[in-house]
Amino acid sequence: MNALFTIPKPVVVLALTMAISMFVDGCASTPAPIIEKMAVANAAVQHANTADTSKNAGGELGVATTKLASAQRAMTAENYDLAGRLADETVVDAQVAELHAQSVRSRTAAVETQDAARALREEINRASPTADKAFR
Amino acid sequence: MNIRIVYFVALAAVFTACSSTPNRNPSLEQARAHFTAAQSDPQVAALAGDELQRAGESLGVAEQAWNKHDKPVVVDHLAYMTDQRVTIARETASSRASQAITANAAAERDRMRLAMRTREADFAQQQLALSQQSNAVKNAELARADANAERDQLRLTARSNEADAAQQQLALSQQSNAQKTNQLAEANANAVLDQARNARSEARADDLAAQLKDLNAKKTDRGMVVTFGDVMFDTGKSQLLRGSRRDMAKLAAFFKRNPERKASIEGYTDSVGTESNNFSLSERRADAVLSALTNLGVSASQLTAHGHGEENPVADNSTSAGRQMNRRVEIVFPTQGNEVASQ
Repeated sequence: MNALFTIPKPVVVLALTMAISMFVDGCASTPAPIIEKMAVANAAVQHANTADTSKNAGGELGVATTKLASAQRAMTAENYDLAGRLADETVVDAQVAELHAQSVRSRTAAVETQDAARALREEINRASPTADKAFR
Repeated sequence: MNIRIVYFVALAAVFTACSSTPNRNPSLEQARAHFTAAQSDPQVAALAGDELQRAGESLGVAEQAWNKHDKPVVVDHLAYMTDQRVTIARETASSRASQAITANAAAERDRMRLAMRTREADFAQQQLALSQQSNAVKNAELARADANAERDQLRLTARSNEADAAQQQLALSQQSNAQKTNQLAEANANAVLDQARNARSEARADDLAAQLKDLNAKKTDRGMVVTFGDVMFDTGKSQLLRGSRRDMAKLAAFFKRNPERKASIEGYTDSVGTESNNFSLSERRADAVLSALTNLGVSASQLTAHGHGEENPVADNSTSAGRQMNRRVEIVFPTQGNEVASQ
């Protein structure tokens, strides 16, 4: 349930409902915990799958997506242990992708702001000699 | 099948425990190393404490599984989870650090903008102060110029006053000159007057001869002689006739003007009649003239009267005209001083 901390509750509820209805219909014998794990993984990937994440953390997002598909296949193959593990990994992979993208974004913003500050400082330093000259 | 795997694993674990150092899972070791590194990173510890703690819990679970001799895939899985959680902590820390940098940079930018505005304001104020100073300087110069102008005006007024004073003095001195000129003119006039007076006194000296001449005075050896003819008297009488009055007045005026002058009144007759009668007649006639003059205010001390009868005839007694000329009274002014003699 740790992974759910970073995902908004309505999304989780929706995903759970969808997943449960899907899997209950398709496979009545699938254990409920696996279904739940798969739903959380699905929600995590969906949440992470944004244009920004694709751009700044395409590799990480690809890992999460691939892993989700693997989890799906494992579940279909009724390898529930593997499916559960892959589902868990998918959640953290999606989070890593999301956070990496955010980190890149923040770093870019920081660099831009620093550049802007530097430009402003240079402008001030360039402006001040003339101002100082005017006082003499 | 699961039981068999567990068995083999347990057997292998027993074997490895006996033969060599057991408990070696590379992925778990790697995860532990990653976690330890992240834990010792001050940025991660400070900025992603929760995430780091979760990674630690994950590592604990993995190690628990390893210690319970769980299946390697489970341990690998849990190690992977730990690794990813360490990554999450690192990314979170990095993100927050960047955000902090952004915030700091923004704050620094704001500070710089503020400093720039402050400096601009200071510059503007200094410019204002400079301009005010310049204004003050200009005002001072203006005031100095005004003062100079005022001083010049005062000097001008002073010069004007001096000029006025000089003009007044000039006028005074001109006035004084005029006065002097007047005084000079007056003095000249006085001199002229004096000269005139002198001239008049000289004229008065001349007056004697002139006035005596007016009385038909003749210059003789005895002096100036004024002769009154017989027209003054009736025949044989010594009473002065009215017609002689003008001559008597002139003579009296002459004597009064010249009180120092003395004269001798001498009576003469013709040769008709007796000598004694003629003498006394001549004497009476001389006295008559003397009395007439004294009556007119002449001092008696100036006059003497003498009768000479028929002596000293001035003409021939044989003719009527000669006898008429001999009947006469002469007033003789004896020569006195130089004035008469010089005439």
